Amino acid sequence: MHLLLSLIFIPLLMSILVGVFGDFISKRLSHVLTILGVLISFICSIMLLNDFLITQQTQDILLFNWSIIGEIEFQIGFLVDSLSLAMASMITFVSLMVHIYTIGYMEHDEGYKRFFSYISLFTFSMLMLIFSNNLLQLFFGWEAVGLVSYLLIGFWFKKPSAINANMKAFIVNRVGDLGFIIGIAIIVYYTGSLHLGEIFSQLTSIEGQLISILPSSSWHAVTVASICLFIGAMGKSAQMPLHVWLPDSMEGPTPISALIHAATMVTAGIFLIARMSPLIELSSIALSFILIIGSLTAFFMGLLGLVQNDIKRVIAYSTLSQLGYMTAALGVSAYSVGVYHLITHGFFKALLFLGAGSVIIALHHEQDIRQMGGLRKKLPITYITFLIGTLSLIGFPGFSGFFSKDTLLEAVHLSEQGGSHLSYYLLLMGVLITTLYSMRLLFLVFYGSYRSTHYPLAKVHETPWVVTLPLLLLAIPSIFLGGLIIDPMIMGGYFSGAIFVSPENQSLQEFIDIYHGVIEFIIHAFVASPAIYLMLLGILISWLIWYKNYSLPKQFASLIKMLETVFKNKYYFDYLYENIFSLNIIRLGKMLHKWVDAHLIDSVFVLGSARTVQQISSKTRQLHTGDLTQVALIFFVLLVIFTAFWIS
Amino acid sequence: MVTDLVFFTSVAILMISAMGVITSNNPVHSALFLVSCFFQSSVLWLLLEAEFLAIALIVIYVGAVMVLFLYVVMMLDIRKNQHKQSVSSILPIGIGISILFIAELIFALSGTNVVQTRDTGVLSNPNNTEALGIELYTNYLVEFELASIILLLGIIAAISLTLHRRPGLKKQEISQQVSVSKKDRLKVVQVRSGEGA
Amino acid sequence: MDLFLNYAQGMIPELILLSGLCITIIGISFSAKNEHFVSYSASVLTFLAVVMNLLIGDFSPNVNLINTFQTSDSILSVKFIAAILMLALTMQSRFSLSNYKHKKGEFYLFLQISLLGIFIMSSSANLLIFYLGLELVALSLYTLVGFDRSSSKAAEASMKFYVLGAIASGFLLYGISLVYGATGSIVFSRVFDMTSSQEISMLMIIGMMFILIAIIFKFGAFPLFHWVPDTYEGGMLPVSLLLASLSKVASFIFFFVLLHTVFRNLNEYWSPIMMTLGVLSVTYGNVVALKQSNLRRLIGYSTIGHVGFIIVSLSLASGNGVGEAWLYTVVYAIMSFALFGILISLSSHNYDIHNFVDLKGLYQSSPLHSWLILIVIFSMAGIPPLLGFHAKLLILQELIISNYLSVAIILVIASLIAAYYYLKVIWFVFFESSNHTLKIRQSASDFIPILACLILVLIGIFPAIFIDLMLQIL
Repeated sequence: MHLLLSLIFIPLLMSILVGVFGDFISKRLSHVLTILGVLISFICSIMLLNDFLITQQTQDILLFNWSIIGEIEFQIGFLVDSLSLAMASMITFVSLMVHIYTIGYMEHDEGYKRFFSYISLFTFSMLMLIFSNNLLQLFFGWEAVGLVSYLLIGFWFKKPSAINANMKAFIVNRVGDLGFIIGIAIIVYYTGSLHLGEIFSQLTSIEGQLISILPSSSWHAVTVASICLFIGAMGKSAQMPLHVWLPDSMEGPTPISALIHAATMVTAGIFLIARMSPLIELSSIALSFILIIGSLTAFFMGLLGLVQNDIKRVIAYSTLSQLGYMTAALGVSAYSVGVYHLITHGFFKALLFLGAGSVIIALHHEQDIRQMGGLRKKLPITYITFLIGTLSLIGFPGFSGFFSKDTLLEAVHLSEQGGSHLSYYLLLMGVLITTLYSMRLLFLVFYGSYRSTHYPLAKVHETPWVVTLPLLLLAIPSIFLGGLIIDPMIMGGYFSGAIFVSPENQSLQEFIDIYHGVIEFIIHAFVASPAIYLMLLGILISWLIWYKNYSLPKQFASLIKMLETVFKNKYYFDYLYENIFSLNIIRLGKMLHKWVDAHLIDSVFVLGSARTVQQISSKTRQLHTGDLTQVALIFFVLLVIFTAFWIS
Repeated sequence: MVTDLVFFTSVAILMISAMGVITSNNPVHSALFLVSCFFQSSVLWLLLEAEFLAIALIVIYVGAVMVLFLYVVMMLDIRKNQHKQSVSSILPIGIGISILFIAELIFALSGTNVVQTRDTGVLSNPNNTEALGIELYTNYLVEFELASIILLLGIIAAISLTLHRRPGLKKQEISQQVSVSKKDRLKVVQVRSGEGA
Repeated sequence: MDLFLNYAQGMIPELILLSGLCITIIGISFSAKNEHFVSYSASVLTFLAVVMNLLIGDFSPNVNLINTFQTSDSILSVKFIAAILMLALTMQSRFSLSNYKHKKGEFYLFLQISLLGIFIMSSSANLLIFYLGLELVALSLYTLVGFDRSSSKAAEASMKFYVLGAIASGFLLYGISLVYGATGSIVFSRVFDMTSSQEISMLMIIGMMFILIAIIFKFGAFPLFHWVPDTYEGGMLPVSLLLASLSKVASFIFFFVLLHTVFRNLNEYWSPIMMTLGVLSVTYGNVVALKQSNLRRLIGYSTIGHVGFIIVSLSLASGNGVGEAWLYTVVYAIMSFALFGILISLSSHNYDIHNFVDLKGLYQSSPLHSWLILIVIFSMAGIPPLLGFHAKLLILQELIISNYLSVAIILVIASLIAAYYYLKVIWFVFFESSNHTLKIRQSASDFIPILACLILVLIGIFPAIFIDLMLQIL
């Protein structure tokens, strides 16, 4: 209990300390305080995880009743189980790394202390989210991480692009949140509780219920609730078509991209769906929907990564694509695999982002990969760790990402969920694409010749230890973690207490039955799945194109050119949103403002009623003359009226 | 029959006097009407066989309070006819409301019984004063004490609202005068010739 | 001797107050120069003693002294809260009085007496005792309103209040005598038996109507509210605070004791009347407040609105309306402590606020006070995380549960109207500047307002425990 409280609230305390008293403490003290806070948090989460592994006990702790409205209790409480502890360990570790890394990255920034305060606050919010035992608190954490993300994307608030990006993130997330709130409302309406445990125990009562959305059609309440929750998850985890904010969010400082937009916050949607698995399981329509959205995102967002020239945006699209993989895993009821991939991905993607950040520092805030090249010698540590991250990302056998991605693909392959075949092929193609863009990035940045003109190569040197240390520390789990935890987490039923999979969706079981240890797993991958060959093919192609500069045949090139325009415009999503939705909505808004707001509400209701009230007010004020006799008369008038009232 | 006659006569005079209190223009007349009211009320007490209260009403209210009132009225020199306007303007409404209420009362209370609970404990004791005293100091002790606190409050309120020490007022302080010593007041000065003022 | 001891055991807090009162009187008469200090410290000690006694004193749970005096856990809790409020009021009054030129020691005597009156009212077991307790409160209030010798407004307000109060007392006494006529007893339990056992006599109903009017007057609800704005405007700030906080507690007890314990069975007769008048109070108070330019009168009118909420909630015969009304009363008292506390604190820095325009530039002069005002005003307007919101919400919820949806809607609309003038206060504090350059530093007089604001915010964020506690009292 004390461990848990310190795990969650110490980052908040430090954030407040540094945020409020920032003016009175030195830079050094501010980072020492926040890093200490997160370190304590990390240690606590490891201790709790250890306790959990020994006792295997899920704890549901009620801190206090916040408020009661009618029948519904609003509680502050924590659910400590396998899922939340696994997430917490990853989050606190990555957060710790990012804290340390920030010392180097933000060294000369004016908002140094503000930044530390924000990221500690973020850590707190994220922990509140994952440890919550009820939907309200979960929603609080959900909004709090959204808020901090908004603040951090716009951290350099003097840059117009940063402000646009954070507005975009905020608005797109609102769309998702609307779905989330409606989902919560439906759940509360049918189960009468916000508490997760109670909701799940009430699910039988909601199962057969129908909601009629349009007069003629009625849907299962479970399906509607699940899809609404998933829409919330889509906003936060940037699934198509609500993905547009994530690439733009790269306007924020790189540590943030690593922490929030790669490892933790964007995975909150995945976490939510995994947390709500008993509900989602009841609706195969919702599962199919999740699966399709996830695999589409995985495929199409990966393609966009191929044409980006900003080092961070390439990784951002890669994140989108990987989130698509996780979502697809949720869609085939392989929640544990989704979370497994989430955790391995959290480490290697944070590593990649921080590595990119290291390059950016070394080149003095240059982000365009066309201005880089041949940095392998100058930045050896960054290069090695970046290479490890890339290999993990593309699923090179033996690396962490290999295990999770392969398991994921197997799960989708074996599933009989509607749309799983299409998804499987999309995801397989995704493997090729992932390899292509990752290797492209690697070759363009670290191989070839240095291409920048305004920053001489001679001035480039390896970044300070506060930057490279986190890289090294993150590189270790990026290699080994996947292989280490696949046994207990996937095969050993680690999540059995937290995640529910209905008997008919046990597709993963088949895979678990044939699993015989890590080595066999690798061998099996060569034999049974085309993924590994696609990956090798990808390496070959990218080696040819970006390392050897092998030029393509003419016809082929023009086709690629055409595709490239589509890709560069990001499938015209932004165009669609900005020119069709936004413009028309703005036009509609203006019209509504003019007619409804200005004319109807303002002049009739607001001003009109205000005028009426004011008139009544000045009239009635005349009643108050202060003449004693008149007031005394009121006593008697009242008496006569009251008595007359009951006399009959 | 006789008691009824006495009751209605005294009530009639009581009401007329009460009207007189509020309608007469001369404050002295008002006060005298009030005296009449008290007298009639004490008749009502007598009819209820409460002799002590009847006497107390006359002795305290007529003998002490009203005399004080009259003194104050005479000392204040209040002009006549000052409030006539407002009273006469409100009077018709007042009368109307009274009639309405009386009509309502008659309508509502015709046929209802007033519960007859005369506490025989008091009346069985021929000595009215003693009976009252026993009740007051046993069953109604708390009420009695509270009434005394209300009186105390009245005294404090009256004093604190009216007692006004003007700053800079010159007055005799006997204790200071007495405690004065020779040294404070007397100074022996040697005046040399030619230097005196 | 047995009789005396019997009484004394049940009345320890009252006896402590009474002895404190005597000591204070003696102290004042023997100290010419520092009578203010003597009186103040004697009063604070007395109230402290009462609070401690109520907190740790050993009360046999239910004392019932021969139909005179009763105590129970809920009565003791009400007394405890009243005593704490009075203690805080005394402490805050000091800052206002130290600027007052005339004799001021007696001020605290009246505070003690009115607390005694509240105690008596809440413990009374018959109508006569109850009336005497009520008079103790009322007489001290009349005097306190007129306490400021230098102000003619105060004298006028006090006089009017006194005359009207006398009429109200007359109504109450007449009502009591009619009830006595109908039941033959003034003892609560016996009157209650009479209302439940047999056919209800019309005499009793009419007597009750007289009493209702007295209750309306004491609350200052529509249409007998005329004394409220006058006294708020004329009286000194601590007196206004007293009227807003403890006087409302007294009125609450008045309503609760008479209508909810004695005439509980007759609720079909009083409930609709009180409900109507409560709704009218909320509407009228808030509508008329719009046109006020004097801040203190405005607070007076807004009080009428708040009182309406309390009355509406009290009028609910079924459900938990009483508990919620009690909660609202206490919350309103806390808000008054914050608001008037700020005004007292400002006036002790020679920053007197009478009209809206006086609020101009307050933010430049004192950001602290401005933020405190913001908190209080938002709480009074019922803006969510603050305590005032929860108090309103619970009442509205109770109304909807009891099928008074239309009443709830009217109350919400009236609250919206209220938000307008509340925001006007905020506007003047924060967005209007003036050219005076007075800078106000924090001082000891800010302690109670800050405490009250903290309560409003913290309990507003974590309301469950506090609300449960308050609802359990009654």
